[in-house]
Amino acid sequence: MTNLVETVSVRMAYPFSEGILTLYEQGVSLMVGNGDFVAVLGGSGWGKSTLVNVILGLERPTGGTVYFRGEDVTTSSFVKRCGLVRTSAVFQRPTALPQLTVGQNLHLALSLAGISKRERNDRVKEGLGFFGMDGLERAYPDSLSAGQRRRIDLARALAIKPQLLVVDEPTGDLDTSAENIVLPLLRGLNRDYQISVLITTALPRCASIAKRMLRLKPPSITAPVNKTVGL
Amino acid sequence: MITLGLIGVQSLQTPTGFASIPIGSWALATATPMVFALASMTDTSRRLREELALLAYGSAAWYIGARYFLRGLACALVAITPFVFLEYSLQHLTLPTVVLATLLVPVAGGLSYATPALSRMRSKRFAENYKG
Repeated sequence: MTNLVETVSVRMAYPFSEGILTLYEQGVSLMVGNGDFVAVLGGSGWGKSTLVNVILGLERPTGGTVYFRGEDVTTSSFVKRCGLVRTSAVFQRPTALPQLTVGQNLHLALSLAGISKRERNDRVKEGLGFFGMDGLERAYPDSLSAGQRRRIDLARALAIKPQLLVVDEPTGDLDTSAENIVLPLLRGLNRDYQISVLITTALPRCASIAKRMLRLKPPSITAPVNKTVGL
Repeated sequence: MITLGLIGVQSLQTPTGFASIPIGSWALATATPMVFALASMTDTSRRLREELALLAYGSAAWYIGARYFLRGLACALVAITPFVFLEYSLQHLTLPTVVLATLLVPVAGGLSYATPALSRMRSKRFAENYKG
């Protein structure tokens, strides 16, 4: 059966003043199948968020290929990829629009996903209910805590009923009590809704909730090659 | 919009009128894109948050660009319409010039309002904002 997402030997190189920073020197090869739960584990600055961006089509890799349902999408946009695999992404930074209420944010996301107006109300209620945010539909994102904002993003992602949910650092900025809420919820999404989940984390404890784990290696820095001019 | 409004008010106070000065039309044509590009580039952090959210929600970049274009177009239309029609009523402008101005100036405003946002979204740095 075709995987939802597959990366083959993906590499990234960032030139900077002291040389070239190379992420995933050996190349990252990763597969996410239907109903899968994969965790990408790596330290700070090892390219976890970059890998998320590459998978979502927000950054182009220096080498390697990204497939969505077996189709090469390395140079395609996020929207094109969503057409192949209905994908929701929750980034490290909260993305809710500050001028809209929680409910309006979810409605907007659903409207952009092409969900009919009639269905939206039910989905918003379901999404917020799943993450224990029932009473906060009329609240503004900036008035909420970091943990609640993370759950809004997750509720928005769930409301779309994605086939693939990509969560960058699900416990970033969260205290232990919030972590203890978010992690089981992610496991519940995967188990109860059969949503394939891909998370990135620096904490082995968080990665342990996944069915499979991919460990990234630290990046390497190579000095720039000096061009010598002959006499 | 304020700049364009001031130009309009000032022009009405001159005995010959703004449009009767040949350079006036050029000033309007060049001021509009510049004012709208400047307006688009101010308050970038708020706009960036909006762009990041909309793209994360699954919106296409062209859709966001179209939104900005329409916003710029509407603002330019509101800004120049009173000026253009006052000049027309004072018989400083001919009807074809009025039609041309009310079509071209808002389009220029919309394009110059959308262009900075589109170039921001297409830059390599843009996706870095999703990272913590």
